[in-house]
Amino acid sequence: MKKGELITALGFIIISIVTLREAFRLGFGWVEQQGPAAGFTLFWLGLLMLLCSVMILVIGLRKKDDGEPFFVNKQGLWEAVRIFFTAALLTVGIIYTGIYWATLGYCILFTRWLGKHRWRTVILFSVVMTVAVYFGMEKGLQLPLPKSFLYKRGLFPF
Amino acid sequence: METLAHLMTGFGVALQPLSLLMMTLGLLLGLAVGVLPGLGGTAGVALLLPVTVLVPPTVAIIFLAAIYWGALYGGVITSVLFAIPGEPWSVALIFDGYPMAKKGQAGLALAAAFLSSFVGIFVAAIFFVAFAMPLALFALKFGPPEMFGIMLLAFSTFVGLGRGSATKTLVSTCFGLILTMVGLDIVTGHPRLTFGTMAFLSGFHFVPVTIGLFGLGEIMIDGEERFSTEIKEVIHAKLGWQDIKAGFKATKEHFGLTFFSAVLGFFVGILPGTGATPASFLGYGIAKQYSKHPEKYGQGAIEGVLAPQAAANAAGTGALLPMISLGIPGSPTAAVLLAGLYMWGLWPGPRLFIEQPVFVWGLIASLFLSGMVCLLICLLGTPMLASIMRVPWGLLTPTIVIACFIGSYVMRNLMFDVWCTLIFGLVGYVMKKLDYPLAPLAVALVLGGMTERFLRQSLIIGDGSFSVFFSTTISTVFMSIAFFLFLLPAVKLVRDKIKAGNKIAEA
Repeated sequence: MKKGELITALGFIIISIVTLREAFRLGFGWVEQQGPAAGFTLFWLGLLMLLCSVMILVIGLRKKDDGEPFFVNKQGLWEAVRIFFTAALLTVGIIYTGIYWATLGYCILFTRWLGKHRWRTVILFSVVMTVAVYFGMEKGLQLPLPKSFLYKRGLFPF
Repeated sequence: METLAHLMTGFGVALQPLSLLMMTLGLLLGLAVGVLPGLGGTAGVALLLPVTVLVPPTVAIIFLAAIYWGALYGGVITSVLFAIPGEPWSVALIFDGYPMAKKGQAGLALAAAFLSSFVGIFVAAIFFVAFAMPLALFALKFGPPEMFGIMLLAFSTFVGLGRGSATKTLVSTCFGLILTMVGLDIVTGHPRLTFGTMAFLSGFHFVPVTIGLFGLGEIMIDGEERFSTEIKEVIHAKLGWQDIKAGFKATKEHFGLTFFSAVLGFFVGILPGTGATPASFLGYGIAKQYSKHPEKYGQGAIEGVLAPQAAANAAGTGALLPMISLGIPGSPTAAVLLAGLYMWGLWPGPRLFIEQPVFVWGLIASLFLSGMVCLLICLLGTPMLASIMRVPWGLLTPTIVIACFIGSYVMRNLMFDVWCTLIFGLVGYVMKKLDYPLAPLAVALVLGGMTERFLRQSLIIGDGSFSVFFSTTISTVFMSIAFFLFLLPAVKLVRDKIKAGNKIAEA
């Protein structure tokens, strides 16, 4: 757990430094006829976050490793990675194919790869899910969602 | 008398067919959210926030609040039957609810928990009615320094009264506040933290970030832990008429305890940053401490079911009071509800009571009605609700992930928001694993813009002097309490060190 704690603290230190740099760029003092400059709040927040993150880092460095792993076990780590990876693929898929085709692909990938369901269940669930999203969002709630190039060329309803 | 008339108007709104329909739908969704371990009440409300643009604001807030009550009730089922808390505030219920179920008293434990939840919500709703208007009228006297003081108070309670590390709470709060400052500066119009990118100009919206933190992050943790958490002995849900009668009898017998726990829960819930979880533990702890037979606790004592549940539900109701009267959310879920108010162009606080009485009193009346409808649904539909737990993980998770992404996209029709959900899912996962509290981050995301505005307005009023925050009695009181709470962890640390030093010296 110690390594994870230190890396995260370092991440927050970097965010604080970026915030402070921005505050310096914008100015954080008093501007006549205007009041506090645009970087005023950023400066104090960045400073406070930097102090706290450094404290967490120092405490983390001085503390003995509790031996507790960051991830529950290897299988758990792999599962978390796969959930994030498939969600990232879904995001990229939405950009290139629209939400409905991406939903279909994501459902197939997830239910087969992570859920280990039979192909029959995989296909049935994925198609039902895509159709439900289309009729629920596009038709029912009239909420327009990103669509594919096929739709843009008038070849498919989504 | 005026309050009563307002409340009657509120009932008129809450009893309209559309309100009742949306309330029931919200309760069912909330119950489902409460039962599912991978999705919390906060993410549930955030996910459905975009849907509310389709109905009038009063119906929308009733719908969202109903999800919240449903989630408060929903955790009961999994805690009693499977010893798995669907929500953090249901943990205390496991201590005695699960042993009761193992002894063959699952029906009684469920009925008692549902009835005490109802008592909790009902008592808290009465207190809500009594306190809402005076608190709102009191807040009419507030100017920017007082409002900044109250915002600071909200953040300080997380630091002073939170259970985790104070430094991590501060980092979490600062991080949330910094995120709200990405985009154009509210006063000067300068782009801040945009790094020359167009996408950052519109800033981070509260909903996609919350869905990422509380939705996707939670799903990743759930996915990781599903190999290490084993479902204990599964007890099938049976809730017969006999159980309901026995539940009524038990609640009546221990009404004093249930009522006291509800009152306690309400006042704990009012404090920003506390919410239902500490209230439920406090309710359980006090009930045990003052019991004539504390040894029975943990073995299946009915009081151990009644007290935490009444306290948790009352706290959930109490958390809405500062949100609606002052604009300060008492819990992360209340923060999402507050974001909804802003989205519909409503500003919480004293003026809301004057300008939108139908909205405010419609919500208050719905507290009573939701409690009753939810009790009925739970008493009749427990076996069906418990069966949600049996939906395979491999089918449930992609459904939730897709709902998360659609929920974030439809807020502003921006792919940037979908990316936010994905990235903040990872951020939430890491932060939760390392015990960085997410609640202050969520509250900071909602209050950040206002906090900065009040700070800068106050400084302009005071011509750059910080003494403006101590210029009136009210703001002095708020600022003093806030500073005290910020310093409390340091005081505790020094006190513990002195105590430890004394012990060594004595030895």
